Amino acid sequence: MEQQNLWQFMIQQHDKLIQQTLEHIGLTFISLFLALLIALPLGIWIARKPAASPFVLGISGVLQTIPSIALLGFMIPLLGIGWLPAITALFLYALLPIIRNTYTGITGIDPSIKEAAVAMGMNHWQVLWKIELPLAFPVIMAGIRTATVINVGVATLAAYIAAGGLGEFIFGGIALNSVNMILAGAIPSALLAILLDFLLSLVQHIDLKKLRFALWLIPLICIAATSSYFFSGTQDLKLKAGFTPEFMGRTDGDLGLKSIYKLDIKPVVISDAVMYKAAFDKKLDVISGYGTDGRLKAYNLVILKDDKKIFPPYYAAPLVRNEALIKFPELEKVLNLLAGRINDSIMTDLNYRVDYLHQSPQQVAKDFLVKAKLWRNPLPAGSQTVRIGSKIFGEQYILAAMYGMLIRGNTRLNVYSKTGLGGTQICFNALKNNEIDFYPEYTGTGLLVLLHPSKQTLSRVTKSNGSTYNFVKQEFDKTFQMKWLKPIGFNNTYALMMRRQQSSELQIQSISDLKRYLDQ
Amino acid sequence: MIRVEKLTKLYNKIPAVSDISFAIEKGQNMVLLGTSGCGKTTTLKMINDLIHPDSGEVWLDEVNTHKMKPEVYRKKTGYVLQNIALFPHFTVAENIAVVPRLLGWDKDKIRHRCMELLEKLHLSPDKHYSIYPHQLSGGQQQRVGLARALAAEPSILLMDEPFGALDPITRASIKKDIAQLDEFKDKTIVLVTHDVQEAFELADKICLMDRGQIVQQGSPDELLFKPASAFVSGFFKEQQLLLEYQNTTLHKLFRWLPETHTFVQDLIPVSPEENLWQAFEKLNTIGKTLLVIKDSGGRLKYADHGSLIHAFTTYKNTLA
Ligand SMILES: Nc1ncnc2c1ncn2[C@@H]1O[C@H](COP(=O)(O)OP(=O)(O)OP(=O)(O)O)[C@@H](O)[C@H]1O
Ligand SMILES: [Mg+2]
Repeated sequence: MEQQNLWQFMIQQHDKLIQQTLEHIGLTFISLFLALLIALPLGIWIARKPAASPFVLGISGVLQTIPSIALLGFMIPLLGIGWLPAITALFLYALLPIIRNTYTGITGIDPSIKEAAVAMGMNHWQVLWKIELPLAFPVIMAGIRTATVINVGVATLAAYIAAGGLGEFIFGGIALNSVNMILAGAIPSALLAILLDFLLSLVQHIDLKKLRFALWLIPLICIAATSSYFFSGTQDLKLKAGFTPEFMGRTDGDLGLKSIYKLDIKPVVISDAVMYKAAFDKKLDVISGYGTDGRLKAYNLVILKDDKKIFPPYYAAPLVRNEALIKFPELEKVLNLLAGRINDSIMTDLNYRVDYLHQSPQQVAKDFLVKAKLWRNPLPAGSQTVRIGSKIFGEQYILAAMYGMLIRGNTRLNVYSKTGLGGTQICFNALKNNEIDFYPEYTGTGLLVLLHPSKQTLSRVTKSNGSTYNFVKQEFDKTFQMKWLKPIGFNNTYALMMRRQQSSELQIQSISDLKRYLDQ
Repeated sequence: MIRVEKLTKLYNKIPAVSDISFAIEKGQNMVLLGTSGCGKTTTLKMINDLIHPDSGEVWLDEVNTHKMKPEVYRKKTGYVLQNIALFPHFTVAENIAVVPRLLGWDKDKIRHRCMELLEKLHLSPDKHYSIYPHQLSGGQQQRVGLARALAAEPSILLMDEPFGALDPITRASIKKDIAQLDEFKDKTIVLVTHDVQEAFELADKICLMDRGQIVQQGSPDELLFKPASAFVSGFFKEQQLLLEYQNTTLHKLFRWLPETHTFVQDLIPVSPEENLWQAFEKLNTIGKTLLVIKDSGGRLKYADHGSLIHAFTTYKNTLA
């Protein structure tokens, strides 16, 4: 069943699959080729100058130990996003195995054999070409194999910084909880690693007579594979778009843009962590984001109006277990104190303070409550404890902190916060299994991720935010015995955004404007 | 011709070889003899600059090696390494062909030369031509090492214990064959060994070393009969008599041998080039016999045990 589905998925997405595979091969080989150009001579050099070897091996060893995500992160301020930082990072990873194996391969040769070569009258180059490289060849090839396998693996992360590759499927699949999509990326990349390793193992054990032939083959293959990356690349468009892997695969994401707006903007895939900054740095013009993200404010971005309503509303409201409401009768009233009090721009501002100004969520929560005249000093607590959950991002931390303060200020209940519960599934399961009593959830998430309604239901209930809220409220009560309290007010929906300046220059205020501009 | 002047090599400020000088005429064989660690290999390697001396100079055919590129004169100098060190990724033929290839010989000539050398060194061109060194026995490897050094017909040959890995029987036969090879006839050779017998067999000149210095150099006779120090005589003591007999040709004793003889059962002709040891061997095996020796002038002399000993004693007295 699953197999069948995966196969269907791969067939249905075959053009993307082919493109991502080519990009993946390209990324792997360009970086490998560059690494060969540098690492081979460097390895040879330190084999001749043993004094330099600890230094060179040390540095490349340190590069190797930097976690790949962090290395990509370091690359962004220096090189931006796209193929350049990705290839640079992969290049750095490939250095160590090649340098080290070249070095050990050459220094491991019996010194008397090198001496014999010199005694026969060979010069430095002849000793290198006729004796050292052929004898070290299997070891050097082993290093190249290691580097290749590492690079195939690390290249999946290139999808985080808009450099493409099979990571697009993998991370999209993880974000969307789609096993098929994960496998559609993971299986080809694993096969690619195995295949390349196998091919290189053939080269490694090749008859020494064919050595020269094989040596010439390696750069040729590299160049051929390299070109695959650039041929598969996206062509230039008037505006460059970058979407998160999750957005790429959602019906209320890129798929909706395509089907409802007929907007085919050929986006690159990029991680949420670097996307906003990339837009600010003009590396990207249109990005997918969340409506109340603090970085909207930090980077002076504006939201394009979703005039055809493809993004369902994501109104936040406390999701509480019915049992908890019975156990703590005073709870519902206290939690509803926040209802309707925080609109989009206030929430954006609060997020901005936490995510960008690095104020603590507690501080930001208290400041807001004081200003909104909701703050009360904590009352002496009794024996009962309410457990609050939150997902693992700033906005949820702020809301959890506010609820904690409101409970302590207005009731005699204790508060226990279990924040940072990963994604939606983890948080929701914690609630279902009675590990927490409530957490802030979004109507859109409740609808799409937790309820999985049919297509017809979906289009019916996303017409207005009222209908979405009523639908999830009713369904959750029925299926999960949980209650959606009153919405807090803001709508943290998906949105397309642009730089404020560009949006006004091009007069693009809505997604339809964007479509019109691109069609001109 | 090789001339070496005041070569010194220090390792960690301790001399491995100090202040060594010698000269070898064209076509001569010199043997470097000495105990293990006395600096023989170091000296040999300094001749073709495998080890660069800390001081001193080397002349090859009257040219100071400082004035030449080492790669150039190394190709004209055959070198046999103490630990053989064949190139493991080359076949036997490719190993032999290394220097001819560097010199740019054409393929047919190289192939022909490889075949020829394999045959001369008692290896089979069919069986051994295209196999790899690790498929050979130690002695076979050593012979390939020799062939590799000889391949490009160098005028100078430096050999570091080239027969070390051979059993006494193969060793003797190879040595005999080799000594007769055209390849060795007019070459200037330096041979390192610590085998005294071997040294006397092959040397025109022996250079005895101890702790990095030359203790005595000269002809085998000189070292044997006029030792310069107690070290030298001590060095040969164990085999003194054997060496003396082996090193004395009948030619040298010719003057003191009788021209007439009394009773003869068997007369065995021997060449004046044969040595005393061989003469005794023949007398022993054949029994009541007499040797008859004919010199280049056609004169005949006769020898039995007694007359040989007598002539040898007289000969030794003239040397002292
Ligand atoms: N690379 C080196 N570093 C330090 N000392 C060395 C080095 N090579 C040789 N020696 C020392 O120099 C001395 C002479 O060494 P050499 O190899 O010339 O001896 P050898 O006469 O060839 O001995 P053997 O008969 O055992 O081969 C030895 O005492 C050895 O320990
Ligand atoms: Mg030695």
